[in-house]
Amino acid sequence: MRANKAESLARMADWEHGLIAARIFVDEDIYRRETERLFLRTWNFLAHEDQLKRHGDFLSAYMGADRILVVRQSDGSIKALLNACRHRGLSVCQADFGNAKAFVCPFHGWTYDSAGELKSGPNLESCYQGKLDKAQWGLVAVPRVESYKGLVFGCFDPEAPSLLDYLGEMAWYLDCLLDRRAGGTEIIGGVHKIRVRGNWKLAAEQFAGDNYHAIMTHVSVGSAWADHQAGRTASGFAKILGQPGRQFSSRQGHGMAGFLVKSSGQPSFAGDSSISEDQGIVADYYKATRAEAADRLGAERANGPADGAGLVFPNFAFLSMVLGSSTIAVFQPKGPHQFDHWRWGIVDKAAPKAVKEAMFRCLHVWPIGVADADDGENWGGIQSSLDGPMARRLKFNYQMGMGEEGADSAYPGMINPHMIGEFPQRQFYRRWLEYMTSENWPAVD
Amino acid sequence: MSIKSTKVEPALQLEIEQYYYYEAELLDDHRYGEWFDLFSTDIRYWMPTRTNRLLREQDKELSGEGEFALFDDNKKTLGWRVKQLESFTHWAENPRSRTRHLVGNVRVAPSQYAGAYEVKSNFICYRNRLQDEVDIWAGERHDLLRRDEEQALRIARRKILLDQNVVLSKNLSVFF
Repeated sequence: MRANKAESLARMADWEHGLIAARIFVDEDIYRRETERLFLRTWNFLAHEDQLKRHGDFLSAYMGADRILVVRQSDGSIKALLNACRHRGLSVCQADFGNAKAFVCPFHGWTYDSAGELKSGPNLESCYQGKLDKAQWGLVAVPRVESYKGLVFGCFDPEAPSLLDYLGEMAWYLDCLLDRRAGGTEIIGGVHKIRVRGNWKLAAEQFAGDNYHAIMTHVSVGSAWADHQAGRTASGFAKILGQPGRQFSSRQGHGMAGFLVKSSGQPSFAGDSSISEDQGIVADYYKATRAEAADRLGAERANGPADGAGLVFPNFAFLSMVLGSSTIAVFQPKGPHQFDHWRWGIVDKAAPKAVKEAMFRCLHVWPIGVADADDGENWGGIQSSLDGPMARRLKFNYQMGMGEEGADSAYPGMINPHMIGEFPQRQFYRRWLEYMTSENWPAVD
Repeated sequence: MSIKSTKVEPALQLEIEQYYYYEAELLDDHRYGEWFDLFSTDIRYWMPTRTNRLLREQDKELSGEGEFALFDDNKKTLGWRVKQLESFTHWAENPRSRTRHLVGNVRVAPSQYAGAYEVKSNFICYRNRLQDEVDIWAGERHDLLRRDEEQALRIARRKILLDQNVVLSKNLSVFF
């Protein structure tokens, strides 16, 4: 990259001074660069293993702007294939998910098996006079597909570290969601997909580090429950989020938006029986299984970071044990001005049926629910403001908690010793800048 | 369920159509509390997701029971949404959106329950928000309408099929 381009990006993502330029959320060139330099190098979430049970089970996913087919193989492994015919590029499967023995391109009929190998096509031998080497013309396979405790990720870059090394300390935090109980997790079934009129980084950075927004953005959730819990107003949220807590960030750009440091072990956001019976059922379940979780994960994890929001860089998010449910999400970029928010419910496989059903009934809070509607409104509102050339020249303030971060003997990674701050966001843009300005996979010291 | 009945009493057809027009008016006038009262206490207000499937798996297009739905509310959780809409801090509806609900293709059939009707209807809802934001939703509703003790119609079950895969509006801060 030309030095002046790198310098210009560094001026825009000035994480060291906590100043991030509005332009990175609206610029077409920066978006194009993200699709190449970021998403072709990072580990991207593809699926939960539970969604692909049998040979031939497939689902459609994205890695950045590229369409991907994720397919369970006959040997039980999972392959990820670029969903573009090698002949003219048309998608060979338009279904969201299902089971198929073969993928057929509707343009000329090139037909691939579930491993992506080109098997046949109309008159393929005669039209090519026997000169087409089918072995050379299979679907492009994502070269690296690895799983962490049920979550399947793909990566195009041969230089990237293994998924486990990429996750680094984040794995310790992810375990709170994925490994509380023997048997791991499963997906509740179905997925929400909603198009948000904002840049994908607005959602990503929020899950990485922005507990702050909940106080104002989600104040009306408190209004919805006003009959049940009079205290849940803006000041109520401020009080909850004002308790002692920590934020985690890693040099790979991952983050936890904030978790409470508690001794009791009762997850504070897991559910509240005064709001609904279902939330009470879920809260009781977490209480009843806390000893098992502490046994597996240790007391620190069972007590603190088990509930809260987090982000695996760049665009895989989770919300663990909050208000009766846990969800995972991907923010699929669709140009600089919009992204598709995909969201799934995730539960402990070992949870009793009644608890899973209660969790399901609590999901109304999130994707299309009382909480997320206002996120969508605010993200979209930011994008609209940035139509203006003066607004695009703004540098946003990401300075909260500057210099507070350090090490913590109880928690791995870099820690901001507060429940609310913008340390993870600064680290997110630090990492973003490294990808955007590096010719090769950006190694971390 | 396909409704092919052509023998519905004109008075009943008229009553149900007028009922839907009234409901649409309540929504478009943001009279959410009155709208909420149209639903019976045992309401299930359900909007499953629509998926793209291989044609031979088309019968599995809708998300099923116990799967993610866009709405899956009972009277209590639907009431939470109403309360949120009535607050002054629900940013998605502050300022208020302008909406226009059009209801048509009303098909009425008797239900297995006495004094109740299975009714299908189609809708288009136009939303105009802030200066220039526009959303158009089309879809179908399957209702169970039931008469209460005073013979007034109540919506006892509503299943909504929104004709979208990815929800193309930034939220669904409206009712259908």
